[in-house]
Amino acid sequence: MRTNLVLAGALLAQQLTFLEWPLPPTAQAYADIDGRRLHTYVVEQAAISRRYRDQGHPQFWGRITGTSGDAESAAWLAAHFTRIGLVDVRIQPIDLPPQWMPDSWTIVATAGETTLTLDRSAQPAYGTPGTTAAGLDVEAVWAGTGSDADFAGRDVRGKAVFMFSVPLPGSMNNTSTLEGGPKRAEQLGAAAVFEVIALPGNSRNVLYPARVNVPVFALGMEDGYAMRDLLGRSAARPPRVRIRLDVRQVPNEKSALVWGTLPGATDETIYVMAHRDGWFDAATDNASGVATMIGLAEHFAKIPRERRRRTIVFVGLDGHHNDSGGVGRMWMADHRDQLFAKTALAINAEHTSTIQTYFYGEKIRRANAYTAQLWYAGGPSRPKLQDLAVRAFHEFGVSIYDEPEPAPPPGDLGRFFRFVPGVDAGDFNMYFHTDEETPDTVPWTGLEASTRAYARIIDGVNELDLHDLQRPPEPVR
Amino acid sequence: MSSFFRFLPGIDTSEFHHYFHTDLETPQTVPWTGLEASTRAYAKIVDEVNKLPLSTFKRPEERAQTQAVR
Repeated sequence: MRTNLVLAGALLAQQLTFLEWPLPPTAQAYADIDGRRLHTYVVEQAAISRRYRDQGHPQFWGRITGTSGDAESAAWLAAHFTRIGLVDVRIQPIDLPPQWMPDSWTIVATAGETTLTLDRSAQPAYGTPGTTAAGLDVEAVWAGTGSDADFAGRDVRGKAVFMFSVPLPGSMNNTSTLEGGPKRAEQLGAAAVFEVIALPGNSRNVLYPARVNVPVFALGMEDGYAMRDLLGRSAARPPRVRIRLDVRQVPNEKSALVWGTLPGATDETIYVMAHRDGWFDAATDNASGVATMIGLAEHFAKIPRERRRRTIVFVGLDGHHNDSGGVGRMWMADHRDQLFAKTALAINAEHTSTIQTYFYGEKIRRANAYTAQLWYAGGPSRPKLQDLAVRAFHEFGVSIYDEPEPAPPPGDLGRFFRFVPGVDAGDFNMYFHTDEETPDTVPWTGLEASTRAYARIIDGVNELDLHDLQRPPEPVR
Repeated sequence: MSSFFRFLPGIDTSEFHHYFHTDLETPQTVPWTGLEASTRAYAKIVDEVNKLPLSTFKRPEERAQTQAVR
């Protein structure tokens, strides 16, 4: 509780400055969706992450699938669903395949009298192999951006290879991985790879799997520059790096789908889903989406059942920040005939508010606004859905990219959109998947705008018939 | 503004975007909505400044270099 209060107090002063989008006179029905209240749900989820961190997991922490943080997140969400008055609230356990778990790591570079403790920011890429208990003690080498040109004529065999990498954005993607730098290093016999993520500061970044069989780490920019400069000063006798990474594959863990239902006047359904997991505070990804889902449940629970044309089913997904592909969403897709036969709409609430930032010199500067969002609203075969979504985004000030995505933005709707009319708007910000993705990077104004827009979309969809929305399943391209 | 702000009460807002100083910095990269918002805000600032005496704003000239001239 104290953590919550401290977090909330620290954030309040800054959040007063965010630009607010005035509620149009025609949209007063959505005034109860209050972004400041929604933001408290982001803070509560960050507190779950921090409790897990403080219970003996100081390096790899968050609402990690299969851990006690996951279980607490599920119980927390179910409690909110119950408070709101949803029915059939339940936590459906799901079995997980063995989960990658890095218990601890140390990275220390030395050259002459200089020692760099790189595990201030070093973070293993998801799924990377560990070392033996003795660890590695290898020479370091700088490999530019990890391209063929950088490796040409350079002996990296048995060495720790450091390469510079531009985030695209945050650590969602990065240039050195996309361009094959770690794979190239592995093929040339490297012992380990460090990708220096070019985000000013020294953030911890969790990278998606690099699919190589040597340890791969992300490194913050300050540590990366320090290592680069140490290499530059020590050409005659290159630095050595001691690397130890303890990794387990943990069997028999469980996660859960968290369900709650708001019965409507018919058995036709609308689904609202949001994944619960994430790394570090995971404030944007995806405490914001879960907060939006709770806000929608609160809003529609106040409306008499006879005025809710369709039953709304809320689902807290286990998530996908692991190497399992999202077990919960796969279960739902496998049960599509049972779940989605009469579904008019599925909203995936994912990254619904994220602060606008800029590079200004070698600093990250924050703005008093939220970012524009990638968006998808049923695709071109559902023009009515796309049109009402665009109008809703505009009405509530949800800034969006200039064109819809041909398929949903990366995330959970990708598993469903071929057979369910889906809407998804979200963004990947500079702090994405880093330890700086804290609640103060989630503007309450963006939560308010997105959640009101989704509520308007649900109301708009409830004026359409199923045949306006349902389409034959799209083939996988 | 960097040449004046040490001895004039100044206001300046701007942003350097992805297209800055490139041949992609075309009129379509200038939203009319932003022009409208900025210009209205400046008009409001002028009106509000005009309600106040000079003494509210005038200060002794600053000495320190705090912003590079562009």
